[in-house]
Amino acid sequence: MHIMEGYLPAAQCAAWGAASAPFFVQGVRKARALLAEKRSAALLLGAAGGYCFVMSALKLPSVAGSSSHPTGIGLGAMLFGPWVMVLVGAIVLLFQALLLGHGGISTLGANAFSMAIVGALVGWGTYRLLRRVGAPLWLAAFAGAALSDLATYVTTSLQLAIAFPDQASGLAGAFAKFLGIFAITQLPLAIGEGVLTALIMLYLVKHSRRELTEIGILAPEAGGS
Amino acid sequence: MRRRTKLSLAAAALVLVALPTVLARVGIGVGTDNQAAAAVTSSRPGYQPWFHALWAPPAWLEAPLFGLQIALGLALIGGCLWLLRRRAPGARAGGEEA
Repeated sequence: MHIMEGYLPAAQCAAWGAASAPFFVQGVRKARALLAEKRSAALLLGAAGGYCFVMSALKLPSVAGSSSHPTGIGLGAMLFGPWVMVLVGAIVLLFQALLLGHGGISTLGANAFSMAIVGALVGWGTYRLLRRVGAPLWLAAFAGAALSDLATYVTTSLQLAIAFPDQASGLAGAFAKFLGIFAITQLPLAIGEGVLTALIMLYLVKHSRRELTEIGILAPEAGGS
Repeated sequence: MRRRTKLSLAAAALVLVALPTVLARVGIGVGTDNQAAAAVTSSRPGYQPWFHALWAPPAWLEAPLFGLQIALGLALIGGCLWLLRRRAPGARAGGEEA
């Protein structure tokens, strides 16, 4: 989903950066509050950050002879809420831009907006909604992670369409064109990320019940799944 | 944790770290990032990025660097989960509650 260095007009790079900045500040505040109030959750947050690091580096083949990578944002967003993962996602994107030449510094704001903000909000929102209507934990985790992944790439498509509207069909035509590139490739990877995330969530329920209870994923006396 | 489980996890971690390099050699198709960049230049012939990366790894180093990122992530996961298990009630006594 990374928009490559210099592939957005400078004004739009600045606009996406400005749009992302308040979320980043809120992410820092929430992370500090979380670590101050619930210290035992720090290790779980570290593991969620590690998961994001691993998943976003896994470039995998997909359909139509193309390749892409999952994002890993959904798991942390479901566990800790979206704001903390804005911070984690931005760190991952900065690491990749500086060390791997993947994505870019100029496009960091746009990439952070799609992956760390939209991805986290969609993952968290989907999970919370499904849990509220009584969906089992595994289903909510699967849908949250898969839709978080897909939403990231839909947002990237929209960002590129805004920057480069089709000269004949306009914004909608360009959006469809970029969706054709990103969404088809991403669909199997998003399903895979959803399955893996659901399995990890079930593992955490079994082995980290105390931490999940502390951060509010499990009710103190509930079975959880 | 049983020795066999530890060995399995270590083998899985090695496979994951080596995966980018192996897949790069095998060929996994064009990345969507590059496809999107190509779509931009095809719709705007002559478009040139206005900013270039301060540093970009040579092509041969790219996959190992992705492997490095995976290794860092796995180390973070492993370290945090190990500490979680150590802190869990009953862990010192060898309980399974961790």
